[in-house]
Amino acid sequence: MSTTLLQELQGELRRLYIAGSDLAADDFRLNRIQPKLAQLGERAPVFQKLAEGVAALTEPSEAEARAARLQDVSLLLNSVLSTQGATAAGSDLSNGNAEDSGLTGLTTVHSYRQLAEVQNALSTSGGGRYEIVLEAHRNGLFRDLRLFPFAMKALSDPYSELADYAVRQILPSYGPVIVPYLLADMNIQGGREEERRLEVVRALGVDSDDQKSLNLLVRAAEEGSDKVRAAAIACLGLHPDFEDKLIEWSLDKKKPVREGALAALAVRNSETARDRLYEAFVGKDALPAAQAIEASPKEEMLERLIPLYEERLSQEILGDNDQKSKDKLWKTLEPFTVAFRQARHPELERLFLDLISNESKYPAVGRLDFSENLRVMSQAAKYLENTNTEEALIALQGLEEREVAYLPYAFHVTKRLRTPAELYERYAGSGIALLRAAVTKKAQARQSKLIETLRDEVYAYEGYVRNRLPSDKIIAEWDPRWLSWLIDRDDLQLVSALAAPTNPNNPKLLKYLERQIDKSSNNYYGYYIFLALDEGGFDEETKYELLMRWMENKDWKKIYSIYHDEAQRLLQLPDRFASEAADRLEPLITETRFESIKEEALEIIHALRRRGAEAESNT
Amino acid sequence: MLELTASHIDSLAPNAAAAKNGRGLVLKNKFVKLNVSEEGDLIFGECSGSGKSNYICSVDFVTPENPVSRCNCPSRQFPCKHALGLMYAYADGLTFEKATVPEDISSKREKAGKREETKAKRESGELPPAKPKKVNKTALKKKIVQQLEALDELEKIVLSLVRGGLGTANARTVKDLNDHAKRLGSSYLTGAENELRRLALLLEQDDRESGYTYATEQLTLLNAFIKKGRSYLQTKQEDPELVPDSESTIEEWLGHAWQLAELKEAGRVSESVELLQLAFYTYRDEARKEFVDTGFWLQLGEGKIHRTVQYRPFKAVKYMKEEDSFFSVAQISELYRYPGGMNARVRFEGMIPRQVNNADYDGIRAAAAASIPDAVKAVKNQLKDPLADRAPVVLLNAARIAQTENGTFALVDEAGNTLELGNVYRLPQPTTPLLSLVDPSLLENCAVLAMFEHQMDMGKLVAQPLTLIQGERIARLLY
Repeated sequence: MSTTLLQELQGELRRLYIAGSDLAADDFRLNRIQPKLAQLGERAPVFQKLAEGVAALTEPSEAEARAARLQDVSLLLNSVLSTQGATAAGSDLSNGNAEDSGLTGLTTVHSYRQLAEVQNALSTSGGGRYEIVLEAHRNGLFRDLRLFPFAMKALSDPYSELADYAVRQILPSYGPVIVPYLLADMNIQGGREEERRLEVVRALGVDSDDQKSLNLLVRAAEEGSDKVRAAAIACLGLHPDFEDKLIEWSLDKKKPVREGALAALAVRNSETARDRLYEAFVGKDALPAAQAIEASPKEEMLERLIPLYEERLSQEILGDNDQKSKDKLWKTLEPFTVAFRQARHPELERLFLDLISNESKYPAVGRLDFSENLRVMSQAAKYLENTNTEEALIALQGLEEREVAYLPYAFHVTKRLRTPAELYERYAGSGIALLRAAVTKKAQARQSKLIETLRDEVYAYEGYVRNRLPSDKIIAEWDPRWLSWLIDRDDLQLVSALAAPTNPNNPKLLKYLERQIDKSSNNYYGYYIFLALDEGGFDEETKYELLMRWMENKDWKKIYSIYHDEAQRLLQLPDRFASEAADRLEPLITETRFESIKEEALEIIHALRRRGAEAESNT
Repeated sequence: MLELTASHIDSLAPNAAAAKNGRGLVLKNKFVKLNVSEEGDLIFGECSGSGKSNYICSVDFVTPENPVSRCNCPSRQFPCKHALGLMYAYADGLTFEKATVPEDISSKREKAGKREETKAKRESGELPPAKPKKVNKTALKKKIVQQLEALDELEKIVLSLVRGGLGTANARTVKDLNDHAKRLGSSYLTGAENELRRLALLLEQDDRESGYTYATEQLTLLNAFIKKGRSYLQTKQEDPELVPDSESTIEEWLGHAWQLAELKEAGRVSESVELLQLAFYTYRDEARKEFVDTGFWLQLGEGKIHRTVQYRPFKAVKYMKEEDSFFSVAQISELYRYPGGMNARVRFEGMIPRQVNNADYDGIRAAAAASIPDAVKAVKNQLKDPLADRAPVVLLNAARIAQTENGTFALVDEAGNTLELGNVYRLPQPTTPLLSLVDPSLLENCAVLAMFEHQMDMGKLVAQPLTLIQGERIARLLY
């Protein structure tokens, strides 16, 4: 059967459907096909029928009837064509079986509901998608074969946090085997999406034997858009063959390309690469070179830079110290602060120690503006803080004496190297410290810095929430005298943090808390007051009494809701206080203006009454 | 004793969120009371909620294939998260205390038992049937007349569109078609309503070229439907006593929704059947304004591929159970078969799951067609009929799945015949590219469940793999 002729007829009919059957009259293309069909029709009746249909379509007739004829011919033709569809594979199958993808560990065990949720999240827009993807990744759902294409698609997700999550977490979890897939889908003229893709490639590394992927990378590095070029070049650092190219690119006219090339050279770390990087560092590309070194701080490179830094810091500069000369000086120093961010090197430790101990030996630092000076010095102080050595401690304490802004560094090291009592004595307890307390401006600044440092220590950030350290840690690591010191300085938040059951029914703390409860301005700090009560080792009577006092001190006319925390505390009172508490609460609520508060309070009162009654019947 | 697995409970849940919330209740220890009846066929308990009193819920397994969940929470989902949580708690092996069945449940059980009894008696003829269904002949006649008129109307609008040409179609045409579709619906031609709306959607499509190809096909389909529908309705008009045609799909095209009783009367019921799901997917059918959950199941022993279809109207999505992939064998006492072609629709009410065993895997291999040309021939035979299902699904045996030089995949059978694999327009997702990711050993000597579709513009019969089966491995490429 002549499928080509039928297919041709199908194309003509499709054209007529689009143009309208009214134009079919005397259609010369149909007229040309018709005799061929008729000829074939002598052997196969189906062609005869089609020939008749086509003839009827083109001959003069009413418009509506012509439309009906088009429909009929098309119906017949479609039925015939449906039995003629080609199925055999077009080209040669001789090259045999599919290659091993290296991703054979992927499963197909998850159900539609599990997968569809994630697939929808990654192919639509709208809220709540990030959490779904996050949870799916945590539950290992991305090990399912069917989510792999969606993980790749996540690179171009309009919500950049999601795309970044795919770059950092999801895609690297498949391992380097996905590099060929990532590169195969690359659009070298693309933008941010392709940059992300290449970031993953860079993190995973390209196999040196994978010539196809390397070729793709080189093509992207040579012909891609600026962003893609930079990102692709940065991936080539591990491959020695490209060293010459990298050096060439590091001299390119376009800045992003130079940046990419420098990043790759820092990874490369060969003699030539280091020479070029050093050249860039002392030349006009100082900052990009510094960033490249920051990302990949190699020992050999650091050894060349540290003496240079020392030299520049210790140079004597003559002349006016105006803004222009300050800026010029900072330009020569800033790249070092960038390059050394992640660096660890004994020489660097020596230099920083000397810088902190003998600042006067480095006059260049003194000529900088305050904020820039701070950057140089805090980098050194931070480095020393992490070494935890006695020398560092002495140097940092000296620095702290000179400039109170550096107190936290010395404080952290002291806390790690000394006993809690020693820490307290140095910062709060010693005679001198007490004597100086709050007298001079400098002492005041020192105190507020100390309190700030304390706050960072005892309220550690967890995500976005600051949490109090657990009480066993407070008891073990903090001198009990801090509590009294903080009460004297009236910092409720820190008092509640350091309250510990070392001194049962601590009278000073109790008095302080009573004062806080009676202060009407403290309405919003109930959380800290009761936290201190809970942690301070008070007996139930005291706690109960203070809670009731707190409730009674409230201005019931003005409150709009009962805090959940307060309601819980009331409900959790020991049984023996329950009925008395109810009696004391009841008169209070008559003053409220809102029905909802009244109801809530009544519910609490009833619950307390029930408990009270139960407790009584039990005894 | 009651056997419950987490996957079975998942399949009972109305949607993924309910299952998750149910699990959450167990994790958060919200159940204050867990009881099981002496016979072990009822679990009940109390679950604390945000209110003062606890929710009292129970799941009754007195008929194991159709567990009944009861709860005094206000949720409209059945089972609600409390009942699901109760089952998860049981499956997790938490301790359930033995207790007597609460009174309200035993009375409900009694009532249900009585209902079953009368139903059984009616069926066996002991009691007279409830009410012989009376057919209002005049109303039926009127309905048929209305349907015929609507068909004429439909023909007119289709022909006018053909005359003017698809190229001139614009937003206004689309609106007219949609308005007309609505009128068809009110003239008892809901099947035609959906197809006309589908045409309107194709004309709205962004990619106009492929839109034209499918719109042309849709126009010829409407033509076939008008013709066949008219002749069918005319014979029905002459003989109103005629029972619905239970052999062809024309009733469904006209918009008839088969009731189980009708199918039973037509003898379309198989008893004690075992089905194994091989593929599943859900898609949004904008023309029907419904989600369609489709499952393809192999009838074990018989070797036929059936289809289950569940429609969830967009408006009712919140209250309907979303189906899910099902990995066990479903043991079904009564399987209702709809009229249709190779993968006729089936329905069942309630089933008991059982683990897939070796014999089942052998059954899959045995059911798969050995020769590609034979399978293709059967597919083409069905596609010849314009009103038949356009996307039949077939289980095929493959000696291997090979990749051609230009990267496309093809099935190769024992005799060396090849079948090119591609992607079907009707499916929500391509699966063929995934073949490059699966374990290569899976691509040899396997059975492949594939969906076929004839693509007019290419002149090709395209097959898309849905699932690969080899030995005891089942790799679902779709869901």
